Amino acid sequence: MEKNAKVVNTADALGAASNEELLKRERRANSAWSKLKRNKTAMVGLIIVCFMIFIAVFAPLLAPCDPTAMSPVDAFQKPGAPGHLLGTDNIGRDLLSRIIYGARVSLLVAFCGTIVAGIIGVLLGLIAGYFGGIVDSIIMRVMDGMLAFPFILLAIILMTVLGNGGIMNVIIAIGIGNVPSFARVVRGEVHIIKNEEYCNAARVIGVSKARMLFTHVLPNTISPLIVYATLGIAGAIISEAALSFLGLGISEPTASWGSILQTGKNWMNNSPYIATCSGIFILVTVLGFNLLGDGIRDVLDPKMKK
Amino acid sequence: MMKKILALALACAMSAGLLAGCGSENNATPSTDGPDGANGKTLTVSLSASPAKLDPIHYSGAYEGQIIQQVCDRLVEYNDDMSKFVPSLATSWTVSDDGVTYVFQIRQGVHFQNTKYAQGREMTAEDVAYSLNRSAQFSDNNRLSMLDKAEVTGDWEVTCTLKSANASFMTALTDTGNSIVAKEEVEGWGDNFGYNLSGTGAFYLDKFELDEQAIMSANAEYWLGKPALEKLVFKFITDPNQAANALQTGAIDMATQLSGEAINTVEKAGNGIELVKVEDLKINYIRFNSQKGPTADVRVRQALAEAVDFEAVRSALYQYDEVKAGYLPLPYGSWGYDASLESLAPKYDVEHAKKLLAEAGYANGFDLTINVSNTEERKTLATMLQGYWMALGINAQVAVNEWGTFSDTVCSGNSDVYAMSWSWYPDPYFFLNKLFASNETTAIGNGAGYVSDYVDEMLTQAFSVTDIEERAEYYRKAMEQAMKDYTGVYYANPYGMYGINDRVVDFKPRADGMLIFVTSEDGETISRNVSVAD
Repeated sequence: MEKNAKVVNTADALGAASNEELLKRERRANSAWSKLKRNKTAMVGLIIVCFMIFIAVFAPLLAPCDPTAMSPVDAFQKPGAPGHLLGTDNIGRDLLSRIIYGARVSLLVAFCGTIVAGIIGVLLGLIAGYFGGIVDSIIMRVMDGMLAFPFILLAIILMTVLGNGGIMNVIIAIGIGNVPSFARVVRGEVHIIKNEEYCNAARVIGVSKARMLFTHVLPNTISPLIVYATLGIAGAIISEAALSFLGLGISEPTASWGSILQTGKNWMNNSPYIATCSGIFILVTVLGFNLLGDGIRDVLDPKMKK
Repeated sequence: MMKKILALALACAMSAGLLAGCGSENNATPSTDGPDGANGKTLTVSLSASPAKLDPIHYSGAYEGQIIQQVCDRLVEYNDDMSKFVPSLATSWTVSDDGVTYVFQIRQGVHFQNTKYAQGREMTAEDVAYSLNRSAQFSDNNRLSMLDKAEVTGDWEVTCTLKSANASFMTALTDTGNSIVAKEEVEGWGDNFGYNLSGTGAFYLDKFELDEQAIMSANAEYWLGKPALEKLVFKFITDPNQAANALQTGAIDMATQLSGEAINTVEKAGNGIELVKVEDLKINYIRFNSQKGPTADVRVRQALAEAVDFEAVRSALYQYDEVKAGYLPLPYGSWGYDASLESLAPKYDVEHAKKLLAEAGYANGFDLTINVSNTEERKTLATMLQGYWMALGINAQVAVNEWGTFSDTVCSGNSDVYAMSWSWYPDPYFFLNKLFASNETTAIGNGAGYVSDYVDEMLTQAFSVTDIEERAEYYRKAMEQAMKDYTGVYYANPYGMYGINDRVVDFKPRADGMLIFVTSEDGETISRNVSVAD
């Protein structure tokens, strides 16, 4: 009897509670994360990215050797040689350790470079988009000017000005080189958002310009920014590798994927594994970021819905 | 409307630019390929670095010497195996008993090349005296510093008076830095003489493009006879692998100074491409600045030398047996070489090196810069030095530059540590004097600024006597002191490595590394005239 009563009770409440439950479930299913989870390629990307970040963070624990410890007598050991899973490079440094530590440098440069570009680009984009007029013209024409240079050329110019060698300089070069595209993306979004009803409402009740920009406009530009930044990191990894390959980026003995590739290119005939290994890591990582970026875009961008 | 006009104007300007581009290319093609269009008589050779200064008094690198060699002649030459002097622009010579005065009979009927200022006029004794005096006074690398003056003493006679007896004078005359040039060419071109070099040589310098190539064409009026080649092209290819590839594709006929993997590539190439290996009068070394910075302290230099395992360095750098292990600042082929000094070469001992550094007051290390020119071998070496010296707490930066900048840095005495190689003649004078004499500190040889009164004294003694045994003894003493002062590490004796296509006929690599295409063993008739088979 008691049991029955309980059943009745829940049945009574069923209407309101289950509606709530359904709504929650629906919301959860529509949340960005769930949508992303259902996107298989994006998940592959995410796994790759997490794996690379993992080896970068735990490099000292994972690497079997010191990446700069050389042993010229053991130069050019083939992959599988005892103690050297991927072999050694031209001066006998363990290639696996160098690639693991290289992940650190490459990802650090890519993330920080993108963050630098993001911060400066977003600020400029916000100002240009929101205030319009002469400010907009000046900022965007300068950005157009920078865009007129191919990115790698711009980065090379910056590296020459900054002086090459240090990680910091590579970050700054890649960061500055990426500013114009961030500014453009944000400016475009701001143009749409600033005329939305809620912005007009905020303006009517007298919200200050700074508050307007940072609490009403900026949060609404975030989704395209996340997409752009994820794809930007992939580009930044390639840029770092390209700069190091040209001898303008990270300099020896610090390991980065680009610098390993640079060393490897001299021994392509007899020891192709040096360039191949670092090349594969660059390829896989960039692919990972691109898949993830595409996935996020599918989720966040309503215009891209299938 | 304004915009449309602007756009139209821009479009016009751009298409005009395009057309102009085509035009100049069309004009250039026939002239570089020769009138018959075939390049069967063109020899293309790769050099491993770009020459920069082609004026004989300014030249600093072997690459520059290669071009000057083709364009200009000297009073005398070494024969192919470097065993005797062959008359060239001088037909004969006599030496006074005290060894101070040399009298040269100048060859008659030799004409300068038909260039802007000299216009093919006959070479005279005045030209010889002018060129030698110019070199004696102004040579950046003191290539004729023993000469006091050269005077015209007859219609076809030049008398050279030395500052003091110097047994190396004749050898110095064969150096491309002491080539005979025409005064009006030098003065006419002024600072640009190097880019418009001319002389009495077998080839005209048609075109010199920095970092690209030097194009030379045969001088049909050459006094020794017409060169068999119509055209000679030096391509500057700094990456030996690229040179090996170019050799395989037929883009070049001959590759010089091969190193690393390129040797293997050439060896396996087949198709008539052959790897030629010759003993070179060449040493590879690193030098420490003896005047500036921490390395001015001999203990620091010793520590730096002892911290590096050169045995291991050689095994990584030279995978294809391209060097012999070296210990002395002289090549094995020099008659001054003394194996008993080999024990003075630094031994690998990191602990001792640390102790020395602590004694010198640098227990925590210091910063230094390693200067190298941009070849793979040197870059790898610099990375290894960086690694070894890290163990001493030394933070070494590697500065990689092209040859011109590198040599300027070294000459200015501002390089802490530099790595390079030296190749010249069997006479130790051309190694030891250049590397250790105090009057060479502004030149590339002793850019490290090593100064020792004792060594100077020994070197001076060595060239003032003529007996070869006696000279060798003085050189031994000088070398011993220089090694005890840890001036540097002389770690390898490279072979000359050439990749040669069998189309090339009659070429012979020489121990001094000079590429010579038209030569004579007696000074009258051509003994070797390189050509390219069809």
